[in-house]
Amino acid sequence: MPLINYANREIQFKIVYYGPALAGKTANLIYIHSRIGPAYRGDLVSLATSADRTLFFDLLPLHAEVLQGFKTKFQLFTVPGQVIYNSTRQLVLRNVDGVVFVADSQWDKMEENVVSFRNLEENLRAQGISLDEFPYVLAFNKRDLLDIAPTNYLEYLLNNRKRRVRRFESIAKTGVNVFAALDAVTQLLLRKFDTEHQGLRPSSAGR
Amino acid sequence: MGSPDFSKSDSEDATQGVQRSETTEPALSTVAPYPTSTAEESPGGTFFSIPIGAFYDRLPELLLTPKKPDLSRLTYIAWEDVVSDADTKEVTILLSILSLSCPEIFARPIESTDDTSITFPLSQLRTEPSKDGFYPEIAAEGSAQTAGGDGGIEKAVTAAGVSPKAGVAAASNEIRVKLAPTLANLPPEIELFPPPTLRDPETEIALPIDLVKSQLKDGRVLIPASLLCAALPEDLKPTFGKIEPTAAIPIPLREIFRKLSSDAIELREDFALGYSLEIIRTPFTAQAEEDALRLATAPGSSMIPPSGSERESAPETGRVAAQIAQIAPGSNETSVGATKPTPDAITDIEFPAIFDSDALQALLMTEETLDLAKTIQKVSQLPGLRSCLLTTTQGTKLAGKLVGPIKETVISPVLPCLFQQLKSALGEARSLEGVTLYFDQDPISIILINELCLIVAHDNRPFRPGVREKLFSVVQELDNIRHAKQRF
Repeated sequence: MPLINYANREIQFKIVYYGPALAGKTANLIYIHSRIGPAYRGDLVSLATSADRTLFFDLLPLHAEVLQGFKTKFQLFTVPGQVIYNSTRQLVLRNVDGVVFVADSQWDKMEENVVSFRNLEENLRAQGISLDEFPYVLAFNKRDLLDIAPTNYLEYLLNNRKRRVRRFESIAKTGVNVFAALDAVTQLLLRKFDTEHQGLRPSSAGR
Repeated sequence: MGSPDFSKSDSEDATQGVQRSETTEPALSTVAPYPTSTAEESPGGTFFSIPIGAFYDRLPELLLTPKKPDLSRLTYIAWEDVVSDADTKEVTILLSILSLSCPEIFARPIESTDDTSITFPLSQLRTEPSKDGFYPEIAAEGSAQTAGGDGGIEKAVTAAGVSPKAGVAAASNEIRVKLAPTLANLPPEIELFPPPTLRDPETEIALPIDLVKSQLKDGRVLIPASLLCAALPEDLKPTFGKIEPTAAIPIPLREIFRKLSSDAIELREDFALGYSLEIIRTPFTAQAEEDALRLATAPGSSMIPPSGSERESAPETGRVAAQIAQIAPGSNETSVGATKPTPDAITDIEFPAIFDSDALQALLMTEETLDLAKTIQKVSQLPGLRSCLLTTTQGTKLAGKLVGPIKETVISPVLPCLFQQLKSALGEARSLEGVTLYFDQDPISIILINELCLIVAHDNRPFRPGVREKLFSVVQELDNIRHAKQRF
């Protein structure tokens, strides 16, 4: 549920980049940060170890005006992918509005993808959220590597549900489909927002 | 690495690649086509199968997952892990050992404090008869033996049954993978002395295909060491015989997928799109489009934006879209502030459950009530056609199935994009109605109308008279039907 601040005329969406360790979640944020004008973004806050592993989360705030009269903030978070940091992931997932699940396309990461995806489902369920109704997209990352699984297998592992979501073949380090995935999840958020806030009209929202 | 899952999906699995022991009753041994073996010959390589239902009710409820499994599903247990009692005709196994055979039914790993003995009737140990009747019920009444005793393994199936010698009947139930990559990827905790060396690097081992398939959904395939050992060439068996028989050995997925047919990972057909194809612009749409052009996003990546002309002519839909006044985030490379609030014309691909279309019935010459699946099935029965598949322009499957040497999962995301690129390149969108591609002797034609894409596999010859026109008409009518549904 996005945060709506009527006094400041501000709406805030929280998007979390989820996925196994070293799948490229932070790389997604770095690319987005590099491509958005400074006037429309905050600093990329990154709490990483010396080995560049995300320790707590990365945060990239973006500003836009999506609904007339309302400043819209998108807060992009990543989670640490390592299995042991589940409590951190649960914390970062609080009040999440949408997820970009970043899967690692390499053959030997398939099990980690599945484990991470099931972990996402579990953590959302703990918040009373069903993945079947939740806005998320899949990014099959590292498609530039040689030893990668075909997308139909990744789809079989991660998108073989009653509700099939959009998926993207991405290369986060060069930016291929990074914005496409962000755009797609944002569309889902806006559509959901539209459905759930029929009464919220920009003209009268400032009261 | 997760726990091994050696369960199988159906009773037929148990018949694959099995061998009968020397002590098998004469009536059975006469139909068993495989070489015989005994437990003594392949220690640790002997398994029996048992339906989960045989012991499920005896498991501590607290340790089980809330979802009840299919109780008829077979799971495999090594004979050496159980103790059988000839008097009571019962078999006993430790819960912790049992949980390794079917981890999916347990809510969590079994710890030493949870461990207990589980007993079930010996008569439940069985394999189901295969279609050709090779493996009838093996747990015949009164045949219980002590596991360690002479001939006590007579009711077991041996993992050695997956050996390349297993014969023709087993071939379709096996998958053969190269051994070298498996040996190169042994878990670090498995230390072999002397390190195994393959005389022939191309050496393959045969594994039960259902054992492999049942684990694909988990993103890995594990087999028990005893199964690997049994499938090994004779010269390597002594080296592997020292490994704990229940140790899990990973089989590299890439090796499996070299041999596995694409139908092993078919996506479910009863899905619903979790998103709308009606695009509304977001603050990130411009960058996404820019990147798609700049980075030449690969086809099939779910991100081929429609051409500019299509965008501009599109009606604006959706309240949020209508309110987009400014696309604020800038780009380091382009100015996006002037982007117009112009959502795309792509609309939801939704069809009514049942079609009310006389035109479609007439086209397909049927009085049957049609739905999407039935319509596509009827289309595939048109003269000269082999199969057909309806997808969206983004490659999402809507109905039908493409059969033949061309893998549907490979081709369906690519063809609509290819078609669109062709249209775009030709610059005369209306002149291109269909494309036929030839893959050796297997032509495939694509017909694309708005967001619907019909992919048809047909005979190696031009369409029979009237068929091509009929295909166009059907796709056009389907497009009308789904637009009509939208209006309501």
